[in-house]
Amino acid sequence: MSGGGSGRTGGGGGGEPSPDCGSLIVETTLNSPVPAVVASLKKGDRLTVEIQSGTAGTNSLVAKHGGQIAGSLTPPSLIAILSCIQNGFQYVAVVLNDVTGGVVRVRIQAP
Amino acid sequence: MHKITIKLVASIKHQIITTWRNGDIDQLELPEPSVEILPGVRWGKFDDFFTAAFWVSRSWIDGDSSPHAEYALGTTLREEIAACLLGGHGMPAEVGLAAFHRMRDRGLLDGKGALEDIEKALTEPLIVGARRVRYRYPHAKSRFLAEAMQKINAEPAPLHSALELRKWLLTFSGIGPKTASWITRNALHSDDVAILDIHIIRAGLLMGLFSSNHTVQRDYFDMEVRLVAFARAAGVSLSRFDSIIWCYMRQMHEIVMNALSALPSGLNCA
Repeated sequence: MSGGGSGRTGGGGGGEPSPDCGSLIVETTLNSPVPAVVASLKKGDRLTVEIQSGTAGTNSLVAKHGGQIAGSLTPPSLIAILSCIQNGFQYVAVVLNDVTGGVVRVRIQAP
Repeated sequence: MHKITIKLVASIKHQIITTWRNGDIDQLELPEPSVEILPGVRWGKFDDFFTAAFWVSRSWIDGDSSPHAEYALGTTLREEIAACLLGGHGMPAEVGLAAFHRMRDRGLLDGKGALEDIEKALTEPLIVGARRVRYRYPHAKSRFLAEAMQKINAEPAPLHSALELRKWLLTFSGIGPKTASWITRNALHSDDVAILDIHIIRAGLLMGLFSSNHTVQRDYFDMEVRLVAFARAAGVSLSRFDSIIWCYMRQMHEIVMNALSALPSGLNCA
């Protein structure tokens, strides 16, 4: 496989703006929720946010509770969060609603 | 709750993506991961990076308001040709853009100035952020740029057709399929052409759209056909897809390289 170099940019402004990693706050929902873990969540719980490597080289952004995956995170600003995590920043996902079998809303923020 | 369903391939089961937008929950349904979006290319899980479903869901989640939605560099075909010609070829995007802005700001894109003036402008260090950067290959690029600007003055551009415009651009010195496609996409917002640079190629490899047997030098247009078919099957405009994929692949470099290294032997040499 071979290819040429890169050099494109978008928006006429020199590419993506650098996110302010320290003050980044994003509200989103838990996707692919793991029922056994989600069942134990309460409003205000703080889940750890990390990039999870799976089998066959797959990667996803997940929220964990007590070391167990509660679900995946696919927020609108995913690219900014991933960029910040790659640069050493850490985040938590705070549960925003009472979990009663429905959608789990979380706020991703610095610990 | 807004619910959107994309039924592209006959499928009983679906994977459901939820997102929080404008104070409400939106849902997108995609075919289950094992279903093929194209022969030999599975949707994959939407929350696994770099799968077909991942890119379709990113397009949906990021929405039209994302910075990826805009990609034009100039305001005219002339400016677009100059910007794209001065970028690419392994050059950081910011450097090519700085060179373009200097040429535009100094009025060197009218095709009437002297080659020496363009060379002088391209040889001087560029200011990129807080750094002074030397532009690579200033003499060759100056010649290509000067010839291109003169050619625009001499020949009418076939703006009625993206493929005709690209064909015309391929007659310019220093413009190959990738740069010609880049100009065409930006100028006409075309979904008929693909810009196969390293980021798009890597994305194609990771989602199984391209194989290790593909080379852009030999197979550019065959690879383009596959990417165009993918976008059509997903129901997303190729120009928008391209812009989103490029931005993510560029910023997720470390994760991308790890994913590529995990590909079966022979697929990881992009």
